[in-house]
Amino acid sequence: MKKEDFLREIEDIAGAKRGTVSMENNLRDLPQWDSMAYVAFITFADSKLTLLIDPKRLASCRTVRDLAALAGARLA
Amino acid sequence: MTCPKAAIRSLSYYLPERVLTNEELASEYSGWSPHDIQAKTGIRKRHIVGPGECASDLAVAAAKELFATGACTPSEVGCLLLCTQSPDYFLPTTACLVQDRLGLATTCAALDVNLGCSGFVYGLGLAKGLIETSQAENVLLITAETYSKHIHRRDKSVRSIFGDAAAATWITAEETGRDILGPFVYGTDGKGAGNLIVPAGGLRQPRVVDAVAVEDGSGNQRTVNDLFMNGPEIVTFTLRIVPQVMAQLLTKAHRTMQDIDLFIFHQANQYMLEHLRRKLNLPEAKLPIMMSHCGNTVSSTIPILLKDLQTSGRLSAGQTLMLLGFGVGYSWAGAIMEWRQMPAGARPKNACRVP
Repeated sequence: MKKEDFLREIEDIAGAKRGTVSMENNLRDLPQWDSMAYVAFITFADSKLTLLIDPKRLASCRTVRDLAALAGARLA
Repeated sequence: MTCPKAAIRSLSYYLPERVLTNEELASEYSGWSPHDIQAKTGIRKRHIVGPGECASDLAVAAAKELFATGACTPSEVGCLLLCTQSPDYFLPTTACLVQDRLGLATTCAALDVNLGCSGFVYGLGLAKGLIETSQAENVLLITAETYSKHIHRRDKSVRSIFGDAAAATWITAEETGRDILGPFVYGTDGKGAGNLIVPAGGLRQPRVVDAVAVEDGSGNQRTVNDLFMNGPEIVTFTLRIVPQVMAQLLTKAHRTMQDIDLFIFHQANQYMLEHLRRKLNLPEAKLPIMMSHCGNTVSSTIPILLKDLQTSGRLSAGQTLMLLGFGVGYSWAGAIMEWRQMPAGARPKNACRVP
């Protein structure tokens, strides 16, 4: 998946407007980054990246770049 | 050669009168609209018990709904299995209270099963064992839960999902040469115990008076007396375990995915179920999701779904169903069954009486 598409997914999950999320964003600053957003991110990763995310690693993420790092090589 | 085989004959359920709407939740939590809640959970409303209303009250109401259909009478019930994690008391067993309140015979066996989302399928397995070994002629399986009593008012992560409910399922013996209920697959992984738990209130950690609420990173508050759910861990567990159990069940039953008419999964979360449906490449009609009117009612989601499907004409005799419950424990249980439910008031011609 391209990084731009990844950011659009994060915008959808967090209820953010198109083009407003970057790798540098702190997750806590996103409009709706809450417990359900974590669930949505896990299902997104499973379906579109075929990646079962480790919840403990996910819980340690602070920025969008941290989330991207979980996806690793699956992001182009 | 025929022998007694357990089969579901009828189901009913009861939802408490008080309704918690998305509008009410949105008014309490800033940054959430009713639309957001519906989009994130797939739930429009949940039914919540009143302060003096307990699991036994819901159980009695659900059983009375069942009796009112004419499917069975209180005097017929030979065994009562009651699944709850919110019992009226530590002791006595809630099933004993319900036996008395329903006027069941004193010759009726009655016991509680402390399981959550896997509880209904476990209950069916226990009922099958009791009936097919002639220990019981029939089983009244009741699932009754008041999780709302475990939930902190400021914890929207669980308050928006869980609803209270009870379901009553009538299971009887039928003389036939083949299984109607089963095979079953069970599983447990207690390493996940801490991911869905009410930490205090038992004997390991007694209920804390004046417990202080702690806020998590998502702005939800709870004390040690309240339900804690680690959503990411629970979802990951589900995504890992559901495909495994499905494969085990199909192997055990010598069936394929194409042999299953309906996949009846625990209605945990619409978002996750839709994801599973896509992942398993199943059409919408084969993996029904019907939880918008009552939320996640724990052990009652499967019987409520079965009843709603029946009411809406989507269940017919002879269909092959795969039931799958998974959650708190971790605990999971799956079964394949044939739908044999009789119309209200009808009795199967070949129903047998165990001597």
